[in-house]
Amino acid sequence: MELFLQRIIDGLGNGAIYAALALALVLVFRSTGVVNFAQGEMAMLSTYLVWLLTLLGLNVWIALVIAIAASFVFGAVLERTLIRIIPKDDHQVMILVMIGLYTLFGALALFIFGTEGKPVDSLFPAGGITLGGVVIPFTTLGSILVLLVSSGLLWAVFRFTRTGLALRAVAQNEESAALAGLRTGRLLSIGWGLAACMGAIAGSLMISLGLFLEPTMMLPVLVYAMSAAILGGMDSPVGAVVAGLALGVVESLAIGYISFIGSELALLVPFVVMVVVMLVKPNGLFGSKKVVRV
Amino acid sequence: MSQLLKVRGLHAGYGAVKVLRDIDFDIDVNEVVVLLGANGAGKTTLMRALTNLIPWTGSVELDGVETRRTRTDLLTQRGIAHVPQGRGTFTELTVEENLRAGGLVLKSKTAVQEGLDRWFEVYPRLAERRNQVAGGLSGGEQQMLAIARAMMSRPRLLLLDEPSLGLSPLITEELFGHLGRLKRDEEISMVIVEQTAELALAIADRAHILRSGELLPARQASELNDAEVLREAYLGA
Repeated sequence: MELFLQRIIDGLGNGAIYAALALALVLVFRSTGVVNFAQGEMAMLSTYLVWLLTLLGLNVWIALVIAIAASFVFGAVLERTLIRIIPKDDHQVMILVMIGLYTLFGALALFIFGTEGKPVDSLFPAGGITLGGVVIPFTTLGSILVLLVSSGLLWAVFRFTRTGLALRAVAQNEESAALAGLRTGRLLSIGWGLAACMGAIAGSLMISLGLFLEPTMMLPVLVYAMSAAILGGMDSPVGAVVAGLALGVVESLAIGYISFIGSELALLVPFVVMVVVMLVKPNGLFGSKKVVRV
Repeated sequence: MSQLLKVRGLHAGYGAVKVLRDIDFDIDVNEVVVLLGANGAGKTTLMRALTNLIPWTGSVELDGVETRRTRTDLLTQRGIAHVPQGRGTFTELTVEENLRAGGLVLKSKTAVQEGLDRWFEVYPRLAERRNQVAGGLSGGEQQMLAIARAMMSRPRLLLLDEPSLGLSPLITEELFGHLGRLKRDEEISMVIVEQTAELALAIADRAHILRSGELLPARQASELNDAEVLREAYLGA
């Protein structure tokens, strides 16, 4: 029983990271209808910025706050300069651009920073709390807290502010939003910016696990995050968070209890879960049915 | 009456397909104009051109200022509200959020609150459902919501693209009753696109017939109440 609980706790820790990046994917998908394959690489670049800032002697939390702000600008500028000029309904071009960005950012990081992993300060202290034989590491606790606080803040912005209402309106129906007098272009940029912020958070949580920072770091996270986003319904922020956490737990349990999975086959877990859920609920757990009028 | 909108030599189309040819017309302040025509005559295209949702050539002046290079959202801020075909409500937002979204162009909070109070009073059924998502409303209620949302931005020109589409005859009658009261109570001009002409003509000052992309000269709405004239519009006989 203790081992089971321990595995769930560990899974939630990883799940918080998947959820953060999944939330970023959902924000982009809702605002511009694009699956941003480069979201993980953007998060990785944001994390390099955190690292650079800590090299300058800044506290890692302050570095993270600065990196979040910089990521917002980067995401918004990327939407304004590149995504905006691609015709919306041209999915093939859009996918090519996304794969191109993914490759570009990965190569850029390799070129600038090299393959050698960089040690980065963790956001959280070492150690943890022991509760009845189960260890809850501060990292796990902290990751979940950071996820809940950041997604809660996002929710509050969307729910209670004028900009949030405008963002939801433009995500639902861009043309109607323009007809309602909203600056749709600027709102879509804000959507991309907010997504990049969540990416920066996901990246920093990742290195807080004690991993070295390297250019390929976010690839497995992206796989999980994408599965979580699809599982959650692609357009549902709540779904992304719930599915991200759930995938983390399922992964941890599968590695723990199914002997042949091990860490090599762990990447299969999200795909299997995704296929099973999609067979039962094609719109995802929290997704809305899309009706396309011809 | 003073002139609000002046359209001269407007051409529009999709790619190589020319839909509208050399359209001229005017809308005066507080005037209601009905635009009639068969399917595919270009009515929706004309409405979409007026709010710059599609590219066009020619000249459109709002209060004497050319609108061709103005973004759609800025046209709304300058006083044109367009309720598109299919209503364009934000289906996942609540009724109240839809209205608030319509009022986002207003600068002050009190103006938004005044708008909410006003339109909930005009459409009590929307008030009853203020916390329901718009997608759950009936077709008639959604159309009322779309109109109320457009009115939230305090427009001077309201464009309505087939507001009766998909509504039962009874609800359509109710809708035009509302539009008639809107005309009476508000300082507003309207362009109403309709296929079912009778009810629209009853509240209109003038009517235009659009036939295969060309606008026939305006007539007094009362003249067009005649079935013969309408048959001419739709069948070209």
